[in-house]
Amino acid sequence: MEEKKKYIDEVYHFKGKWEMPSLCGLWIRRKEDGTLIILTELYEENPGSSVTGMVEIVAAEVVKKYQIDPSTADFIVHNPERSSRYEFFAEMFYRAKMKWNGDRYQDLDWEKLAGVDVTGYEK
Amino acid sequence: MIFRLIYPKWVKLEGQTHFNLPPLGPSAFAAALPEDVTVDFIDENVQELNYNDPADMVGISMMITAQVKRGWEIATEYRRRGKQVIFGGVATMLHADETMEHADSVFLGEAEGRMEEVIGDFRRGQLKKLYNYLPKPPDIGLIGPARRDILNQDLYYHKGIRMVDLFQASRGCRFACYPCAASFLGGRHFRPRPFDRVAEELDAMDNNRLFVVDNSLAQDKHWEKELFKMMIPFKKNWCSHTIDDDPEILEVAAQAGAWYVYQAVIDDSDYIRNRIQRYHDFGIGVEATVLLGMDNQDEDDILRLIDFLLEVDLDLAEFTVLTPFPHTKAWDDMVRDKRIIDHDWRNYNAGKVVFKPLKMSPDRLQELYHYAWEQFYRHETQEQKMFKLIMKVMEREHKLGTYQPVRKDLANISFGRQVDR
Repeated sequence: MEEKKKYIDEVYHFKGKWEMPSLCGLWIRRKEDGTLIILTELYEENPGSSVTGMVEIVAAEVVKKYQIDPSTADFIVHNPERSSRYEFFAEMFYRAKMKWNGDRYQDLDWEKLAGVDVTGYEK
Repeated sequence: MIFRLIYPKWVKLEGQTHFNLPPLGPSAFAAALPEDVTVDFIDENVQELNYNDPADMVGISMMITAQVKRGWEIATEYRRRGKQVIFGGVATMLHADETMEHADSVFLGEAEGRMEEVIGDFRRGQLKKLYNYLPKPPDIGLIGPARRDILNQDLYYHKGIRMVDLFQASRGCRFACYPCAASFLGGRHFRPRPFDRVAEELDAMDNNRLFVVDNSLAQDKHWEKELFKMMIPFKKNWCSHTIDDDPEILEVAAQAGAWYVYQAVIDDSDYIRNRIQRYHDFGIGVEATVLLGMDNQDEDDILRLIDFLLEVDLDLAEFTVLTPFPHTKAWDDMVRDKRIIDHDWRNYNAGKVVFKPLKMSPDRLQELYHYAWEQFYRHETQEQKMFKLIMKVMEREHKLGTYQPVRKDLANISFGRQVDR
């Protein structure tokens, strides 16, 4: 368990499907009533599984490692702009809506977002 | 010990010329087995499977998703008969969780250097449920010549004409393309085979016509150029996926026997038009690979694309519909948006619409897919266009002195079955 930092902005390494070494961007900001966590797909830089496909497992790891209250954690998966003329590589944000059962996340559902409002979160 | 290795059949795409290529996965796998193991190979696409044939252990090699349900059926029957069954191959890795429910063992990753352990475990009665070598690809230098001797080569002829043999100069892929799982399967690291091993394999192949199945040859320009230079003395003719659009590389590729390339045609831009022209300038044919149903396409885009394909000078075209295979961004996107409408893996053959397209109905996309095939080949069939490409390669072989005559004894046989000429 790491020191409870106000914010995190790093490349996060995780074990993907079949233990494939995998990574994503991890951005954490806190405010009094919750924590915003943005997980960013890194495409070519990622040698393994997408964080989209592993979000329940990665989210559980992150809340434990960074001492985040799982019940107020707001997980967003970010597909960054890839300078492509095709829509499927446009920037996208999805909220990963999950239930915390005390040990892990489950019942994943996705909500597409127009963007993410970071107003009010500590810098 | 007899190892029965099976390559399950699948239903070929409706309306297309049916052909069968000698599969590379099983022959590469066979080369990784200990020398004292006898491989008895059955390609169910061209051979009947007889469950009564002698076998100590059964391996099922699956390359594409459309094979997996048949692979599971075969395993069920063998296991009912008391045989232990192990699965491997690309589609096994894509569908590993489900496949484990039908298997005594599942092997994930590349087989080279790992099979002594697996066969040893089997012989001791200690076969493991899972061998996960996906995160640990073997030393690329271990990949030797595939064991094409396990194949019944006569079954890969169409009316006396031998099909291309599959060949691989590298594994892995540095790209992360939208509909492709290659980076998950091979890791996102491009891993070229040592040239001496590539040369050893080319030298051992008696077929002059190859399909270089590397994910993309356009991974590293220096490597690409050196590979083609090394290939020149072997006087092969080959098709491949994309080659770098660089005159120096295209020149040496042509010298090395580049016959035709698969070029993704995603729009009707001058970029694509010029790229096709540049291949042709170097005497390299082009088969357009056209993916329909991407989120940026509406009906008009697809109709315009078909017109474009008819207008530019293409040798062949292959149409597929976007198919969200597991471990691709396409899969992630479709699952997230709840757009998958068909979960039967048999239908994941790139010819059936299994998702809701963004800008048209699934039925309309299916119609446009059939329309694209019909329109492109309305004046000249796929077989006729392919024949022209064959004539081109025969001309080159005559010049090089490598021409192998058409097999007259197989003139009325197509992939092992009698046909009318």
